[in-house]
Amino acid sequence: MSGGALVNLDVHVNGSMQHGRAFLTLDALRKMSEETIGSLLSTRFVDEDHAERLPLLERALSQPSVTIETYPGEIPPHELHAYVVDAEAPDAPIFGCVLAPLALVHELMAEAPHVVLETATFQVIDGDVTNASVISAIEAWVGRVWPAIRVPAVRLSPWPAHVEAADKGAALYKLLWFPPTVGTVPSGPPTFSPPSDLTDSERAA
Amino acid sequence: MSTSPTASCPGRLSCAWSQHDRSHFPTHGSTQAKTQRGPAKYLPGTTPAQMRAIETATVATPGAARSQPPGKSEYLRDVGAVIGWDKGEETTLSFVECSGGDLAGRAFHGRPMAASNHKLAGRRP
Repeated sequence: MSGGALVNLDVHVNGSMQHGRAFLTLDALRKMSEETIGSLLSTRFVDEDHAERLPLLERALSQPSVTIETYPGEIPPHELHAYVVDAEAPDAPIFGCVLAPLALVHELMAEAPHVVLETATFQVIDGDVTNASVISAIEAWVGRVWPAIRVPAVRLSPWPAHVEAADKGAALYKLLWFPPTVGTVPSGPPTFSPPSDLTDSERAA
Repeated sequence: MSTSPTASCPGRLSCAWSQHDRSHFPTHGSTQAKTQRGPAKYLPGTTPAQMRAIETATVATPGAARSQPPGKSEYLRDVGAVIGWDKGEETTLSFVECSGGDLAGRAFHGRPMAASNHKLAGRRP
């Protein structure tokens, strides 16, 4: 493995069952002890602004099932901003976390502090971005931040519309992450053939 | 995205701008109302370069510092135009914090902040 390779380490918040992964390069890992990373995670795990939302989220996530609205960021590589629909106030979803594809983790790694931490508001999506991997990431986020609660069944509601059917959801994510190109658009002829009279006239010219 | 140290925030600590966790970046489907129970957001269409420019100007503005290193330093500036939403309100205020250490590197990131935000405790620049 080269020194620039990405590695991750699961560390606990000091004195807590809450935990998260730290993504960093092997070079950076050689310079930082696990204790140092744990201390860094403990300091940054809960953003001051987010602290007041945690009890609301815990209550909303303590239901047997929960709907999560996701909104894609405008800047590639696109992250998803996840909002938990509160059964008691369904019109005012509560921000849960940013779901980050690995491509974004690599980009953030290039910036100071050169360590990307999974916190109460940041969760990495493993693998390709699909309905299944997004749901898996949300489940992992709930399990990390509220280790005492039973992870609810997650129903995704991706922007721009509530999409319940799995195939529609998959199609939407496919569009978001793999925009159609000429080669993948299903309608229209695979190749363009000019009218024969046009080609004839061109030949004549 | 480049992360070259800026001359400010303060230059001697080589602080660099960071996207942080992107929670304040605009999203498709962003609304002002969603910031009531969610993070502050820059206005839709705001680019990373624009966010960086706003936040770099904030840390470089004389008198913007609310606290100083060591530890976390904070900066607040009135941009003079609406830059985003916070607590369900439009806001012209740019709030930036810089933190980190020797091992992890020091970086700054920011967000729009409503005048009613408890962090300001009623104070404006």
